[in-house]
Amino acid sequence: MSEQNTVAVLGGGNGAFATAAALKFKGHRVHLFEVPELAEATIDPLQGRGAIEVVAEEDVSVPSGNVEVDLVTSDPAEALDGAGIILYVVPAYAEQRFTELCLPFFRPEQLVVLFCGNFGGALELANQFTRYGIKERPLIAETEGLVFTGFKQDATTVKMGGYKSDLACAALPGQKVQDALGRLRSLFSDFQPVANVLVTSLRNLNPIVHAPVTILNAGRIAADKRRWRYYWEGVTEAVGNMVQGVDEERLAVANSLGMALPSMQSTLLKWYGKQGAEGDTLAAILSTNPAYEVAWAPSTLEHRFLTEDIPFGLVPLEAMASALNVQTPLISAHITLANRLLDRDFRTTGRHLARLGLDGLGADQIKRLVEEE
Amino acid sequence: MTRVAILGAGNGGCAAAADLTRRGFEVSLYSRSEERLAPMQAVAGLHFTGVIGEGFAPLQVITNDLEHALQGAELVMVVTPAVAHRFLGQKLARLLPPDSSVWLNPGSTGGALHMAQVFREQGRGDIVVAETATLTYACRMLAPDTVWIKNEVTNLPFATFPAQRQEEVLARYQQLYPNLISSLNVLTTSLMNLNAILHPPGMIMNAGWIEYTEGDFKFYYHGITPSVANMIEAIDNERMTIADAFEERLGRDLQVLPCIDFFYRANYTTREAWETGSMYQALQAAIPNRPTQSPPSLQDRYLIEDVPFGLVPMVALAEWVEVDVPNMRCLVGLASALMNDNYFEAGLDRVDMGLDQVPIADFVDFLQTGITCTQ
Repeated sequence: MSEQNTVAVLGGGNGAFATAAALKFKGHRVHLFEVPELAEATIDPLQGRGAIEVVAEEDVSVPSGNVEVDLVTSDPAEALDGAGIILYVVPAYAEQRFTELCLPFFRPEQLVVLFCGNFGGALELANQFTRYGIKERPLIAETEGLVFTGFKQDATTVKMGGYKSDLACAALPGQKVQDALGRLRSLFSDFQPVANVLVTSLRNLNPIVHAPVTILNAGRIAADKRRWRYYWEGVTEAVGNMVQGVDEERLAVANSLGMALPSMQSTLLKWYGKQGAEGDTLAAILSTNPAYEVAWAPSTLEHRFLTEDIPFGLVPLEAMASALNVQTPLISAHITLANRLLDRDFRTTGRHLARLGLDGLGADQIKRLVEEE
Repeated sequence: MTRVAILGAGNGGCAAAADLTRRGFEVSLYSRSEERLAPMQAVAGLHFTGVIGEGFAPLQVITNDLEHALQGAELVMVVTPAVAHRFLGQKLARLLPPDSSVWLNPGSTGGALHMAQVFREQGRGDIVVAETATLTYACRMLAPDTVWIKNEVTNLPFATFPAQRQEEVLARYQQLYPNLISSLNVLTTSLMNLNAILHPPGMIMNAGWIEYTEGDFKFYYHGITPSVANMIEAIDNERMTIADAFEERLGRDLQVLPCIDFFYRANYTTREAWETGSMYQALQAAIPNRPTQSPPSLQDRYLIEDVPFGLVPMVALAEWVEVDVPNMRCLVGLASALMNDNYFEAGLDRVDMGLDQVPIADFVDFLQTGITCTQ
């Protein structure tokens, strides 16, 4: 079996199932890898046959039906054997654990892609190779978001929620992006190259929307026992204004690095326009987007909207802003409030600049690092 | 018979008007708003219900003419949100006779200092301004002519600026409320403004719920979850740290209580809940607060008063004694963004409170006498 054909999908949640199934439909060989401590809950139900049932409506670029993944395992050696491309499809707080298990089996000729890295995922991964003393590492890439969203209906069925076309993808080092995109073309033909992984990090919109919407609905999340829709009900006018304010701080950080990035408003319309999203303000778009019909509000604040998006989203963004002398009072306020809500210190436990290998660097040094190393 | 002028005919003003009339005082009720007064003028009084009983309080003077309201009044009580203090102060400066006193019930944070500064600007440094840390009632209007009194607050700290007039002025207002207690000075009462601690976290962390459902939940009972209470406790700890810093600099015991202790002593919550030390438990057990509906929109004094006239002056006081208050600042910033305002600018600072020219070493004397050595 040619090494180039096998894709190792790391993860056992909604995104991993959706991605594994989609790649099978496209005719690829897929290995699905889950960490041993979670295997019983997530991949064991697939009973070694890797059978996933897919429920899909139009415009998600994947048909309904059944697929069988070629290998389902929690043995990293087995999972990565024959894999030319490795996709991390896990929340950012799980990346480190997957890396710990898989690092010994990565080979320099592979391509490792973070789907997505939240803020600085590729940088942290590269830094871990350095810390482990591995001089020759695989090419690393990351995207600005998840291509396929899906929601598990039960242990073996995933309902596809959406497909994001033209996703931005960068390589680390930035110069090697065409190499990465070339190798990914048979999987994803519409990825758009961007200059470096700072661009993909700054283009990640999850923390920008999840932090305000969750925090400004924090009481309701815990107290309201009725089911309610996270975006359709949670994004009121004032909440939408807050998301807009946080987005503007994100764009200010990007500007200070000489990047002109699209606003959240324009990106949402690009991604979801074909599914009917529309509106003149973020509040209008988010609260009426048909793609969010299945996005029910969490019933606890112990949810990745905070436990991932604060430490792996807003914390490194705040740290980057600080290094660049850009003021981010709203982002900072959200982190502080999240710390109180969950009674922890995300600035310490989160992805601060040292973890990205960027501490003490100025703007020019940071840019050079991501372009060339 | 003592005549009391009650300035402000919202929940608190009406509660006071009804209760004091029932207890035999002569009351003049004033509001800027003719619209608000009209239903009460139509029945020449106020209906009341709740812990003081049920009945009707006849009121001879219900007016939007401030001069008329003040005629013959020995005691003047201001029961408005702090946003109205400057406006009222400017008018009172022209109308009050010499050596008057005015009681801000409540003062919010820095209320008495701010009002005194307004008086001074108008050449009326003779007027003594008193304040309490919170209103003497928990109350709500049930109808435009009916007030519901849910709680009579006990052990309420009362102070005057200048403090040297406190004993005499307190005695006057104790005619109305015998269980007012003397606190050290208006720094104590200002730091005991617990509205600033309880309300902004609940508003901000329920902003979506408030807007989407128009406040279809109980503000404390549902809205203050254990996580939201974490933030309340965090800013309450910052408030206590500010008090500790002033105590150290001024060499005085300010008698500032933690929120949960005050809540218990003021009859809002049970002993059992108080003993848990948890603000969440204390609020869950607070019977007078259980029925309190959330405001139907973010345009409510819980934000537009309690941030600029509560948290912001507390932050200003913290800066003066070099205490870091990152959680208070966080809330002021978020509230400002939510309301499209800048509360750091719009709220009370040391200039507004007349403190910018007062050296910290002279602060106690200033609170005592109303003047500094340098003046």
